Amino acid sequence: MTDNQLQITNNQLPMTLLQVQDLTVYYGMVQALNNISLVVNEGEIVALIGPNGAGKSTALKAICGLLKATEGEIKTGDVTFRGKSIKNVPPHDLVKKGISLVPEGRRVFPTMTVLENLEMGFYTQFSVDSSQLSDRLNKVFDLFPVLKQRRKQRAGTLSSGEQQMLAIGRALMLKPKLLLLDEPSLGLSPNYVEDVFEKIKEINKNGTTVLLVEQNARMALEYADRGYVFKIGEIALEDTGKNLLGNDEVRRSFLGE
Amino acid sequence: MIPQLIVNGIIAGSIYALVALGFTVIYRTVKFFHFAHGVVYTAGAYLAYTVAREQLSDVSGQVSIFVWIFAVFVGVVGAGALGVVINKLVYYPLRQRKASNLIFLLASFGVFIFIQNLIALIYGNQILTLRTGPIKEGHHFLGAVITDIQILILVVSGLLLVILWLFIQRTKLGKAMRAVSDDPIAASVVGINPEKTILASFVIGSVLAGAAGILISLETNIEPTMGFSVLLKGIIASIIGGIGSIPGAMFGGFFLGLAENLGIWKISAGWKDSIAFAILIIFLLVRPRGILGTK
Ligand SMILES: Nc1ncnc2c1ncn2[C@@H]1O[C@H](COP(=O)(O)OP(=O)(O)O)[C@@H](O)[C@H]1O
Ligand SMILES: [Mg+2]
Repeated sequence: MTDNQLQITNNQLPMTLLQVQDLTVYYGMVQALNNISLVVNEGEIVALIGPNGAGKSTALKAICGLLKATEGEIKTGDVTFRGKSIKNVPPHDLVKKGISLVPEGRRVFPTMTVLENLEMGFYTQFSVDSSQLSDRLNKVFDLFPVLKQRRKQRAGTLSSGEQQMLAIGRALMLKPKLLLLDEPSLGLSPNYVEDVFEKIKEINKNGTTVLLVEQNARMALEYADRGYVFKIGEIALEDTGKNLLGNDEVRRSFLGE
Repeated sequence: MIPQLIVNGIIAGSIYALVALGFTVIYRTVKFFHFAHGVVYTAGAYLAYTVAREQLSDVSGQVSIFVWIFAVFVGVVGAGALGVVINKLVYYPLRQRKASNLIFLLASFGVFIFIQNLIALIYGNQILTLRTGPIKEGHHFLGAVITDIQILILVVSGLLLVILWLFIQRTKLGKAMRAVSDDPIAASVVGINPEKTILASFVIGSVLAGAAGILISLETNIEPTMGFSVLLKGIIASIIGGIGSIPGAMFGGFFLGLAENLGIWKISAGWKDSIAFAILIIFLLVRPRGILGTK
């Protein structure tokens, strides 16, 4: 098959990158997700929205292997990435497969410098090829110039907006195929929220598929190609971002109209 | 008198600093008090003694340099291996079960007592002597006397402190250990295997404890219970310095050694331990985060 033909097939069928199938998750005796299924296609921005406690973070944690750390367990169902099951693959192995997570609450390394934080993002490749490291650093600095200014500063001294940029930058260091973000706008001042979403859009344009969880439903749906609406452990609605923004129920429940 | 107390304080301090540093390196990745660290120190001394013992019964009492090197090697490697075994057989299964910190502390005490009794069973409860040869006159230095062995203790512990500092700051594994210490979840998300990092911290921390045990046995007698008081001093030093802080552990060790020794200038030497605990209590009340600690 020539490159050209490959291009055509790619254009005709959306390539499924991530698939969550009939997933049921428990924390001890408490059910957090009931049989949910969702798909993320290559090149998309997909948003998971819904009220607090609906299970959005749980879905993200199930995808990236972090459930075990919080005593959650996948009871049934499967998660596949590029056709292969990644169910229960620990997070430190997932990044090698091309999945990076920006965790809820940013979680930068507070006592390490901005530069060291970014180096940690490159950890699994570290010392393999340092010219590649500086290349990646420059790409992240192009996207977030403020990080370059602050590179010698301890990450714990950054503002929450800058920490969010750093957490995203760190996740981009390995050039992931899929970027997962949990509540990127949480705790940010309103002008920073827009900034962060603009950056996410730019990252997506550069070829990274994005799956994000957001409480700020309006902002998320404005930027997302598609969205899923969570309601107490289930997916209540699924549509394009635009249609969901126009949906009466969504407007009433999440957009305060 | 004062110069001598300062010299004694710095030497005691360098041992405390090594123990505190090993304890801190481990604490940073596991976040509980690994009390059994004290018995790893004891084990290091006894392992080195075991290798050197054959030679000690010689008529001359002189141990050749090669035997010394081998004894140190066995003591240090054995201590590292003991740390790994404790982690693997006791702490790892507890982590898998998400045991509480209290359980870790109890288990750690249990391991301490078990291994201490094992050493007593094998070697007996009496004191043993590793140092050999005739006692040489020390060097006079600014009004104090310092022996060759004491100089060796200072040089070796100083080197170990510097090497550890560079390791933590510069190497890939050192950075991974800092990342896990800062935030284990974020560390796993960037691809760091937390168990590997914990393993590395047990190796490094236990090697430091073993080295401290061997160094002190060149200066004083050894006995199965020798690990307990030095463990307490190491923990006090870590808390004074700021729990979890590597420079804090170094600083706290020397601070404690000096304070204890200068403290007995006016009061009797029997109060040394009380001085350490008094300092601990003052810090806990006035500055619980320690000298260099954050938060
Ligand atoms: N570590 C945990 N242990 C027990 N229950 C949890 C844990 N984390 C989340 N839950 C529960 O699971 C449900 C879904 O939570 P979560 O996925 O965090 O929701 P969201 O991200 O949509 O706000 C909630 O009822 C929450 O209380
Ligand atoms: Mg959440």
